[in-house]
Amino acid sequence: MQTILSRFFFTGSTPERLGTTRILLGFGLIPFNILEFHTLLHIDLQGPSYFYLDPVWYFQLLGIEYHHPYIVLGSFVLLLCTTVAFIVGWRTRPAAVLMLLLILYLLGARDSIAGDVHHRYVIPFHILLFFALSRCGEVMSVDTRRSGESVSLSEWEVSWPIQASQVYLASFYFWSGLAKLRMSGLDWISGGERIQDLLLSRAMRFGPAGEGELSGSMIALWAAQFPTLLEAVTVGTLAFELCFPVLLVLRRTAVRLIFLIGVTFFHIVNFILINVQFLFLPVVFVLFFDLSNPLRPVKRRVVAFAKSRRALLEWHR
Amino acid sequence: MRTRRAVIAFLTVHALLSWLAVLLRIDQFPLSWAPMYSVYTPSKAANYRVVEKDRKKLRTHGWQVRQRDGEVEWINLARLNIPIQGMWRLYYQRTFGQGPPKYKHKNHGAATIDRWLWGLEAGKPFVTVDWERRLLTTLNKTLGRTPSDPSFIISAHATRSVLYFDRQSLELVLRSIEESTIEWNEQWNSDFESWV
Repeated sequence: MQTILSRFFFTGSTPERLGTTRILLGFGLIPFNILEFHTLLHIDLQGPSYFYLDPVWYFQLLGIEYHHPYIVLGSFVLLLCTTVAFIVGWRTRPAAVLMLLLILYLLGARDSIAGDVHHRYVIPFHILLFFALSRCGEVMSVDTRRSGESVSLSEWEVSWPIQASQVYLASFYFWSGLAKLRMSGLDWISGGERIQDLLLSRAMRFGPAGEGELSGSMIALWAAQFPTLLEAVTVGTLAFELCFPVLLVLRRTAVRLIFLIGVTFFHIVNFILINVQFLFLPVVFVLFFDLSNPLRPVKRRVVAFAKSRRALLEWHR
Repeated sequence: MRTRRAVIAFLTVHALLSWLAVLLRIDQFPLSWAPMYSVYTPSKAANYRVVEKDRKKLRTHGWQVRQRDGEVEWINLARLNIPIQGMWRLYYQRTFGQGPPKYKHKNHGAATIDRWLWGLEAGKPFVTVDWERRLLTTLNKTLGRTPSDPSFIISAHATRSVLYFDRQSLELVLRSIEESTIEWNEQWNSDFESWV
């Protein structure tokens, strides 16, 4: 058992794969962060500080009771800057740690307003934690280039952050399916009523347009007309959530690609129909593929561009 | 982390904590056990009941509140200075006693390990939150008012439109207006500053 786990967590990756994954995750996190927290900016900076209705546990612990517009704005800007630093590998570990702290603050600020806990950051947060603890900043990074030293990373060092992230990702989807079965059992599937209820509620999200008219998502109202299809969708959702861990052992690229395209489609449809904002979450699926080879020509061009720029600067001097 | 041993120790602790949260039904970021839409109890009612979320009303009016000196005023979105998503949850849900899904999830279900650990009988709510008190405290503290102020808010009134859709045809069959008034209890004055 120990050998199997050891082989799973400590083999299979290359430094290039770890670096490429860090860069792609960072690129995905930029729109993700914007979509998640931009609503916090739609307030008056000079306006009153709101007293939180139901602070998250760590706000209670730290005694954070008020929503301060300037601190929220500053944290948001800093989060975007640290995400860029994470992408380019400039002080990667401090950048990742700072990102984790800023996400905690901004998420706490958003969720303490009315008490709802949103789960969209759970997966990226844990992945970032693994990457922050790893040596991902020592490959394909500004820091390495600046230091000029060649860093050699062992296979186990570059493999575990990716493998641990894959396990967490698969576990999260599995727990989601498990929670539905624990709480609602097969009622969650029955007749597609759960989804029909949600679609109707979301169709009313933006209020009334007139007497008896719906003005939210008309497409949600249209989709609600097909209960058999909705039942099939709920069965499919439950099936893919419970089967997600199988992806950890199925290493064939084509199988993984088909499965994850299906999950991505699910998130896109959820976003369009019921405004569930997991839209950019599929970016974390890069963890399941080694994209360092397909992206090698891009890397070559970036390096060539940097070299030519340096040569030009020296010629000018 | 520089050694394999350290990585193994960290991953073991991480996995234990994550699974413990699932077993004990802890939904506190960054731990989670259930997504937002996990609970569904089938209804025998002939209609779906949907609350209309009129955002325009929240921008122009909001709650109609009564102050201690008898004055009446409106508290809209701009006066609380929060995003609209938070405002509609406060107005259309908390004013009507509806909490966020995390409490519904926690209170749902019969025999669970956490119930057994805490010695709670099946069906008994795990968490009860006094939304009336919380909301009035939030309104007053945001506006900088204390119980001794004449402008202290002692009640807030909200209305919402509820639509009923036929389960079979999904036709709109009824639109009704619901009202809710939350009142300040004078016994809460003494620990207004310290209570969260």
